Formats: sequence, structure tokens, C-alpha cells
Amino acid sequence: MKPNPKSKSKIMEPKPYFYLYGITRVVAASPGILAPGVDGTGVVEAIAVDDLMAWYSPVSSREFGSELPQWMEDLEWLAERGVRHQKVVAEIAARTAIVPARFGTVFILRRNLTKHVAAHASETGEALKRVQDAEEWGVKVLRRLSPKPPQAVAGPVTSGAAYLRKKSALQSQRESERESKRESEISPELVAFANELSKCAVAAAPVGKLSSAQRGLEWQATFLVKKDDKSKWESVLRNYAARWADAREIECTGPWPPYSFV
Amino acid sequence: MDETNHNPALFPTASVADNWAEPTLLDVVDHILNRGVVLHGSIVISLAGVDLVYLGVNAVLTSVETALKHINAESLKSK
Repeated sequence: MKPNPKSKSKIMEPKPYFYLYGITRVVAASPGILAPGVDGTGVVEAIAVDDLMAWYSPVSSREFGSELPQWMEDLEWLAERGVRHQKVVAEIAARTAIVPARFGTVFILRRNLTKHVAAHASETGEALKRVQDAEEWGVKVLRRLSPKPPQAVAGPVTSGAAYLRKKSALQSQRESERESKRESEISPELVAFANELSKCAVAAAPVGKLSSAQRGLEWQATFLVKKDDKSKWESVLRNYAARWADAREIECTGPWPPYSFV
Repeated sequence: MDETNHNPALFPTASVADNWAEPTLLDVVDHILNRGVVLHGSIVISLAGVDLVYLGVNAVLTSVETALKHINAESLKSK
């Protein structure tokens, strides 16, 4: 049975663990981070470790300790915490360059967090240099499809039967997507587009473990782009958006903290 | 896309060819977990004196419907 993260234990709540959001160079920690911690209640704090600063918040040692493997399998739980994680990291990133920690990086003691940061100071410094004045941007290319098939997953599910119908529709949709993907493979035009984007970026990485099932998705990747190159980057996107206006849609999301490049 | 839903404080956004692309919850999870998935899905606590708990998702992200439900919920909250 799944634990309830909000349930009160009869015994006293054990000491909190420390959830790490990321590491920056030392900056003024005041004013504090407005976004709540990943658990929705903890206050985000910063601690200096030599010339670095670790950003963390206290979390329940049950929810983020022994129960964490179970919760990581629950997309509903993951979605809420993921959004909170993103809000905190984005708020820090708005102040200074950050090396984001991976989701679910938790320390039992604060002193171990600082020891860990100190032990990895050199590689963190290198990573900070790499992401300095740069932003992560996600790019998706979607085929324009019409007419739209029945929407498989939007809207509330009011009964078990409706849920199964939606699930079944989603499955057929995915199969049809896989079919069309096999038929078309990656077109030379997409390769040229990816190359043009790469010329404006300092690095590129694959992305989309979850959103790869998105309807009409032909290709997606994420890029690390220097702020100075942003106008060049936008110009490539606009050129291709105009060129493909009738056939494809380009979606660009960002700026993300450099999750994919540290 | 309806620009009234656009909330730069909540999510990153971008304008491409006059279209706002508002990241979905799937985009958020995709990005934050892009380098964070531990393929063997193990948990390590106090191993060899390092009490770093580090774990990730192990091919369990199947509830796309649930995620989409949350996209709608978060979108409403942000209004």
C-alpha cells in the first residue's frame, strides 16, 4: 500500500533530511527564495561552502527517504514535486548561474551536504563556467495534422468505463504515431534544422522521455544557448517556422536552468 | 495557444513565430529528469560513509493521463 505523505505518524516526526536544488557561486542569500521547497512547506535556504553556495530545504525523512522509491513511481507525486523543484531552481537561476542537482538528491545530514559540495568543488566550478551566461532551450518539431482525431486524454475522467475508453484511444493513437514515424524517419530538412540550431548553441542533448508520445511529434532536442547568441537562435527558429508554416509547427520552451548540461 | 494562460513566473516560455509555447507538465518532468534517471533505480543510503540518497525513475512513468490531469490543475491554479 502506498504511504500518505501527509499522514501524521503517531511517533514524533524524525529529523528532516536535506534536499539539494543546486550549487552556485556565493551570492547574497537575501532576499530569500519565495517559492516553497519541493515538499510544498519547507523554506529554501543557502549555505556557503568556500566560494560555492548550496541551496537546499528540509524535507521529511520518511517521504524523501525510505518511501522515496515508491513515490518516484507515482507520476502524480512526481509531477507536483517536479514543478516545485523547477520553480525553486528557476528562481535561483534568475539570480545567478546554477548547477542544478538531479531531482531527488537528498542528504541525511546538512554537514554531509556541505562535505559533498566541497568534495566536488572543482568539477562544479567547471560546470558553472560552462553554463555561465547560457540558458537551456527545448525545441520540438510537430507535424501539422488535420483533421484532429478524437481527443484521447484531455478532460476529466468521470467513470471507470470512461477511463478505459480514454486509455484505449490513447493506445491506438500511440500505435498510429509509431506507424507514421516508421514511415517517415527523420527527414533531411529536420537534420538541416538541427544543424542550424547547433551552430547557435554550445551544446545539444536529447530530451523527452515522457513527451515522446506527444501527438505529431517528429523530433525534439534541448540546447544550451549563450545569451549573446539568443537573437541568432531565434532567427533560425523564425526562419524555419515560416518555411514550414503549412507542414510543421515548432515549439520552443525555455529558458530552463541547464538541467541537461551539467 | 491562448496567451492569457501564459505565466512566465510559473514556467519558462518562448515565442516562436508569434506562438507562445507553454511547457506542459511533461516538459517540466522531462527537463528536470533528463539527466536524473538512475537506470537501475536503486537507492543508496549511507553507503561507504556517503549518505547521499540518490535515485530515479525506473521505467515507471506510464500514467500520462495523470500527468495531463495535473497540467490542467496547475494551469487553473496559475490563473
